[in-house]
Parts: sequence; C-alpha cells; structure tokens
Amino acid sequence: MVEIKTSKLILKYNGVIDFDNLYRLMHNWIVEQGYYFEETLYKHKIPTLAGAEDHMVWSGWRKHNEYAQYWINVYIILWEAKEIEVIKDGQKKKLTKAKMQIEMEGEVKLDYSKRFGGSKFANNLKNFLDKYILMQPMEGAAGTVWWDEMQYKLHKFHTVVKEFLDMESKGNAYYEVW
Amino acid sequence: MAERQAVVDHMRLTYEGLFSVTELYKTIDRWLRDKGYDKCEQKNIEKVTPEGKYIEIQIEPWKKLSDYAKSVIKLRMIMDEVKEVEVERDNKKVKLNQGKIQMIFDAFLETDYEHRWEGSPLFYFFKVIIDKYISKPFTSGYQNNVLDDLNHFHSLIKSFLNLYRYSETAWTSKKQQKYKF
Repeated sequence: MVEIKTSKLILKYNGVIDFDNLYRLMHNWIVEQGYYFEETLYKHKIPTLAGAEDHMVWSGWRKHNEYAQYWINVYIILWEAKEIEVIKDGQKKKLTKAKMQIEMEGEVKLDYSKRFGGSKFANNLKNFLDKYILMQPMEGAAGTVWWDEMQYKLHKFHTVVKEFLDMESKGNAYYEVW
Repeated sequence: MAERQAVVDHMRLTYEGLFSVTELYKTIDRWLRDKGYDKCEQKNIEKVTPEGKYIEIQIEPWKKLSDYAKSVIKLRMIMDEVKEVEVERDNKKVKLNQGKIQMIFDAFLETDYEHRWEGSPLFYFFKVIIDKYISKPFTSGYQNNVLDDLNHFHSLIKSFLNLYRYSETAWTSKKQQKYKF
C-alpha cells in the first residue's frame, strides 16, 4: 500500500474560544464530506492552577474509488483551558479561554485493500497499472490529482476553522478549487 | 532528495502603521492563485494579548515550471500589536488595523522534485553532468522566472502598504542582484 501525505497545516490560537461549537463544526464538516469519523484519542489531564489540558486525535476516511482512499487526520491540543462566562448580546455564554493548536493532515492511500500485495507478480501488475493505465489521474507515480484534491479540501477545512475563530487571516482565494 | 537553490535569501520588508490584515492576506492569496501557485499554508498563529493581536503566518506556495524544476516562494509574516481602529475615509467610517509587520521572503528553485534522477548512482551521475554542462541556460532562465515572480510579489505588497515612495527601484532588481549574489 502506498501512502501519499499532504503538507501539514498548523493553526494556533490563543484567546477566548467557543470550543463546543468549534468541535461540532469541525466534526460536522468531516461527516458532511462523506468521511467515516473516528475520535481515536481524547485525553484530559487533571486541571492545574493554569487550567486543563486536552488532547484529541481524529481521523476520518472515505473511499474515493476502489483503488484510492482519502484520510483526514486532525490533532487538537488545548492548554491552560479555563471555562469563563461571557455576556454576548445580552445572553450569558460559557466559553473557553485557552491556547489551542490544531494540526490537519491529509493522506491518500493507494491500493488500500491490498489487492496487489500478495506476490511479486501482483506487485509488478500494480506498477504497470500505476504507470500506464492510471497515469492520467495520477500524473506519473505521485498520485498528483488525488493528492491535489485532498490538499485543497484540507485548505477549505482550514478556512472554515479560521472563519469560525474570526481570525484576521480568513478567506481563501482557492475556495472553488475542488 | 530534490535540490533547492536559494534565489532570494531572507529579503525583509518592515512596516508600521495602518493596514488591513484580512485584505493583505486576501491580496497575497489572490496573487498566488493568479500566478498559478499551489497553496501551502504551513503555519497560522494568532494570539490575543492586551497590547493587541500577535499574528504569524508562514506560507510556502510553489509552481511547477517544468517536469524538472519548480519555483518555491517562502513568506513569513509576523504582525505584532495589531489593534482594530476606525478611520474616516471619503466621509465613511472604515475599520482598519494598526500595528507592526515584518515580512521575510525567500525564493527557491527546486530541481528534480519528482525524484526521478535519484534512483541509482548512474542516474545521479547523469543528472549532475546534465545540470552542469547542458541544462545550465534553462536553469538560469528558471532562476530568472523565480526572481521575477518574487519581485512582482514584493512590489504588490509594497504597493498595498503604500510603501513605494521610499524606494525608486526594487531591492531585487536584476542589476542589484548581480552584486548581491
């Protein structure tokens, strides 16, 4: 099985966050894109005077076709997280004051069902398929088009989070790509 | 491993005053898209402090020039003490930011990015010979492409920040480059 990773996108935010809604938004985005969602880790450390520490690891996968599978991996870390009450538009709201880091990474897995992993002959067959038959969607052996789709989808996800956090650097000129 | 040649190394741009972070980001993003660069935003940090926001953005977009070479621009933007202010422009109130910006530009020419010439020692040997004696004019042409792109990018940001009055020629004009590198 060949795994092609996209570049990792790192987002750090320090301030007041509506974390419950951010969590829901990110989860919903992954599910709406047709990914099977898994929270593989949720670690909550005993809060100190500085606040609590939470680690979350998510992964989502979906079949693109019988040969390629898309994966989204998300790592969320919260430090010094404290719940605070804020009055917004005349209503009391519970928000989180924390340092947050979100890492997003995409992955394209080729031959994920390991159809061609059995023998040397099967492996050669796979190489032939990659090189001559699937050349168009893959542009050589690098899986460029599938990788490209994954990369830009991830940037969309990144933009959605930035817009939710009302970060100054929101917006994405590449939004309609893929 | 693909080889990276530094075409521009740590070119800096500093500004302090009024600007719009969102518009600056959008302008950069739009320019990269128009020029055919692939997006790669490696880092985006935003901290809210009593003095104002601290924002750090690192992008490394790239563009394929051929099957063998690609142009990579690396930009690190550090903005500090960014505050929101209201300014009157044409009798209308406009929300802008006030703060400090420091930008660091690097530009690279990356060759053999698909690792086609690294498979065996013989391939690598031919690659070195071809690079050195045959494809040198092409490579220098690519270097000029990278340099032109960075010049344009730099001037775009300068014009966005209204910085043109401070310099008559671009820092990376080819005449100056001869002496710098």
